[in-house]
Amino acid sequence: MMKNTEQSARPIGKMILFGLLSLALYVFLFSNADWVMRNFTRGGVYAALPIATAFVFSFVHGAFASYLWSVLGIGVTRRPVVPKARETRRVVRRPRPRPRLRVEA
Amino acid sequence: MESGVQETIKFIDLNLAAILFLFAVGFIGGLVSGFIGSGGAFVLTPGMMSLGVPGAVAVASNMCHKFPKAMVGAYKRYKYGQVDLKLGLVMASSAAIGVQVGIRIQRWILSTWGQAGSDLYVSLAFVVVLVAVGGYVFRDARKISKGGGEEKRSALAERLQRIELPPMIQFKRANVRISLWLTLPVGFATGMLAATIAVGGFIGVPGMIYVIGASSVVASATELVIAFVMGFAGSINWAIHGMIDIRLTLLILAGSLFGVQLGAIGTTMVRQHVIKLVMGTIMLIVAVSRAMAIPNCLVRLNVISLPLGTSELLSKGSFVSMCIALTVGALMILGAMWRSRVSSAKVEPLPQPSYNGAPSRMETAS
Repeated sequence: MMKNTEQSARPIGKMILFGLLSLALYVFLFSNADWVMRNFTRGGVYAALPIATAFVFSFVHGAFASYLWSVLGIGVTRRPVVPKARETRRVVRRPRPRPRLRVEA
Repeated sequence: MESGVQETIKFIDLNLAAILFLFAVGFIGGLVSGFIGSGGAFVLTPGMMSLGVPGAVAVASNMCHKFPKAMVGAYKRYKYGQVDLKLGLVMASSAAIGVQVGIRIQRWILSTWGQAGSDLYVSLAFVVVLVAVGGYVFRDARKISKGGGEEKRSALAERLQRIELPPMIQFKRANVRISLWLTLPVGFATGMLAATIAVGGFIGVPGMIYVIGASSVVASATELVIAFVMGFAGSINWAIHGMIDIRLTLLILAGSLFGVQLGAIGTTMVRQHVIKLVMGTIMLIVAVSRAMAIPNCLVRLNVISLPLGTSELLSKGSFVSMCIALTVGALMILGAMWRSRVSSAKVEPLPQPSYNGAPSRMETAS
């Protein structure tokens, strides 16, 4: 029962959506490779084209890759390793009763 | 110059074998990067050049794939609470100065001793740094492994953290309070190495562990932030000169975005010293690879002479051993993840009280 719930929570729909988007981007870029190469290697202000393209592909294809690993059940299996707090020596000042001279008159 | 480059780019034959090669190397390089914070670039550039890509275009296209890969890896590991953003940015700013100095040294060597002299300098830097640092990291990882897998902060880092030299900076995630001045040499050396051998992380990660005092997992995750900043700045520079072949970049990225996320997941499954073990192993094999390149540099400088067959054999051996370094690293990561998965799938028995009453530690991964 638990297993079924986990499986149904897997993002299959998102994986397919981002997979198709990623595929469409790759097909579009490689089917227009001549135009892309002509303009992307012009330099100067055209430098924004390859940089922006790398960002767009990393978002879309990166999301697809992330969902794919989730669907395949490869994820964080235990709590992520977070560094332990550094052991610091805390100096606790305790009140030290000092003997005082009392004069009882 | 620009039209020449464009002409060269147009004539690169991207056949199926080349596409699969770039995807596979991208995946393996991404896996290693996601796990130890760096790696992959040292195989990708010569790999692309072996496909017929001009050297400058190979470097530029490789760098343009590096920053989105590092960004995705850093984001993933940030979500796991492993990234110290402040430490990454402080390191990246001093690394930028190191890159500039490294480039100037390279240019001076190139103008004085030519390409062979430059290659010799790069190979010697590889061998000296990787043997010294990689050997230390590997030995430390073995020691931790034998001692039960518990990572301790280095004595050097402890001593440096006691030096009250203003401004003192608190790195919350890394759990470190240290003087800014003591972080600068580590960042500078990272940048210098990045400009020399293209893999700054081989200094950056051990530097953050042994000098600054971050844990392996935080150091390797934070290195991805440094890689992003440096890769992004470098890519803009190459793009302004029109040297990026976006097709190559995206083919590598197609594989590396799978790999980098798998590597990031891997860090949550294994014990921290495995990161050191993988890094030390890769560094030592790469050192052997670069040592094989030194005789050919000496031949070109007319210092020694070698038979042509030996020279070719050493050249091929150097590239093959680089590929072996990356493959061995990837297999170690996948093996550790597999073992962790298998052991976590087993029903864990209740912790048994040990001799001193404390619950005994369960080994979840080697």
